[in-house]
Amino acid sequence: MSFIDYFRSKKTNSASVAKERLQIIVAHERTQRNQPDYLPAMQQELIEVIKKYVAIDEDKVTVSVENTNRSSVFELNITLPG
Amino acid sequence: MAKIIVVTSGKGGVGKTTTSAAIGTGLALAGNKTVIIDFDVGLRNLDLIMGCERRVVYDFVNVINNEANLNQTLIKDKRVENLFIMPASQTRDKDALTMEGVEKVLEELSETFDFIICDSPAGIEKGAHMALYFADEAVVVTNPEVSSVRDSDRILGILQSKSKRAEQGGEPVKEHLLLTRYNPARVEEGEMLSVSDVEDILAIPLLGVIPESEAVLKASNQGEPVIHNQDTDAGKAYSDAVKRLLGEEVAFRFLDAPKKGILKRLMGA
Amino acid sequence: MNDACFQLKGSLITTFILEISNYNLLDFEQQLSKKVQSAPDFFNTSPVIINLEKLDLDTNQINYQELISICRRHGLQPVAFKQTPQLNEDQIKENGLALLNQKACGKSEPVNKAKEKPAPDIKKTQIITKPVRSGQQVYAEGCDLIITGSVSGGAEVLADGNIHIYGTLRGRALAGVKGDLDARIFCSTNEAELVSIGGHFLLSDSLENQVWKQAAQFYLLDETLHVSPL
Repeated sequence: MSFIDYFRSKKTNSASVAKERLQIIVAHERTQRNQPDYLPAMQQELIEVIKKYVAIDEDKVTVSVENTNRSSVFELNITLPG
Repeated sequence: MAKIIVVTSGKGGVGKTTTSAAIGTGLALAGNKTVIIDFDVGLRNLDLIMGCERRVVYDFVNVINNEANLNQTLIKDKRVENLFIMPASQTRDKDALTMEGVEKVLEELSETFDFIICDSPAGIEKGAHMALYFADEAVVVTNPEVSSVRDSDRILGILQSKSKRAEQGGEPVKEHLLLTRYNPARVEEGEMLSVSDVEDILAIPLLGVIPESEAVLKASNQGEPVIHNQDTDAGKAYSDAVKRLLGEEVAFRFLDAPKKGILKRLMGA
Repeated sequence: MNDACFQLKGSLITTFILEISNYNLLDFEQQLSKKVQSAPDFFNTSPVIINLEKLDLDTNQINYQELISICRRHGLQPVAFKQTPQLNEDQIKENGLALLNQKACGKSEPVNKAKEKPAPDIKKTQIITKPVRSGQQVYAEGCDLIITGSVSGGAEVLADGNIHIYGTLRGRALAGVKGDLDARIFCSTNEAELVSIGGHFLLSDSLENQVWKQAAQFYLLDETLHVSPL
């Protein structure tokens, strides 16, 4: 979706906003169902540690686990400001 | 000491979460520190309706199990000062809620909040019972439709006999009727139960009548409680209801079908 | 192993106790005869337990066989003697009667006017001032029931006596549940799901044609439930 499309749909088409939100949240919850319980806690603690050194927006930190046949990959993403 | 208000109905899909979001927002806009708690463990919706679904880290069950504290769990609303949300767990089920756990959390919240809104799940089982047990007041959400009215009557019976106040012989829970999805045109045609029909059967004071409105669907699509949209009848009706909840006397609007003027139809409702 | 021929079960029964204080043969028989004749059907082959507690059995020699036949002559059926000291237990057993100990006898109360039913205790009418909600049940035991509010659909109100509903009856009302066929049900507005008096009932589909949504009273006449406007 291009930038212009986004604004247009926001004004007249709330259904597409809904669809977008749902896609994100359902995908998120599906992966969550297969993930270990400690992730939310760990994410929060990592955020606290990073905040001590860099001022970041909590929304810009994501933590996830990807399971393949032979191993699990733990991914941590931090978008730094500026 | 906070006032605990449960939003319940018995019947599902009548507008409890929409109402919890609207009333919680309205109370906060009026300057009261308000928290809305989602009691629907396993099928959470409040976070979606409030538009904070991406900021849920911890939930109500985490707090009860001491896996997280209130500060970590409560989500601050981005639009309104004084408004916080306590999301439900999506992975656990209703057995994770315990009477003592819920009581402890409510006590802790009571220390700093003015209003605690408990968004009840549908039904009359554990989740619904927990949501209404500690309530001081109840908003019974009802559609002008036979199953909804009967289920609301059932939940009123339960409020009168199985709430903490009932069991301990205290002042009974203050009951309010909120009629939602009201369509005055259909009422005039004799196709829908009227406000007085429902009042007659349920015999509790009327808090508000929310007209059927497209704005409600739009609001949940966008994750913005409908009360923010003061251009719509539903938004205005919710504002009126919040005022009455706070003790003000407000005349009931939107009870009559609009006259079929072309201009009005162009403007939209 | 054969199939069981019988079962021994415990039970509690009510019978009369014939308490004899003075065993003057002629007087006894005369008085007994008079008593039985005052209500012959009542005493007809009723099982009776004979209590000789009040007799001094040393001085009064009882001919048990005679006593038993006098009773039987007048329609009473002695089945046992209450076990008291000095009782000639052999004689009793010879006559084929049982011995009941203190516990089995229990308390005995004099039956004065055996013909009439014992006067019912006047119990205060139960009054409910809040509406009766769907799923709730109210039972007024041993008395009438008054409800000042309405009875919702899916709610049940029962009484041994009459039921008076000052609001609207939308649920079920059952009066005279212990068998009182004279019980009545009164309501300000009849929208009942089910109405019953002494076990005879009517459902809403039959009620809808009669006195619907108006003040009504329900009563039994010739074993049929009737509705009439109030």
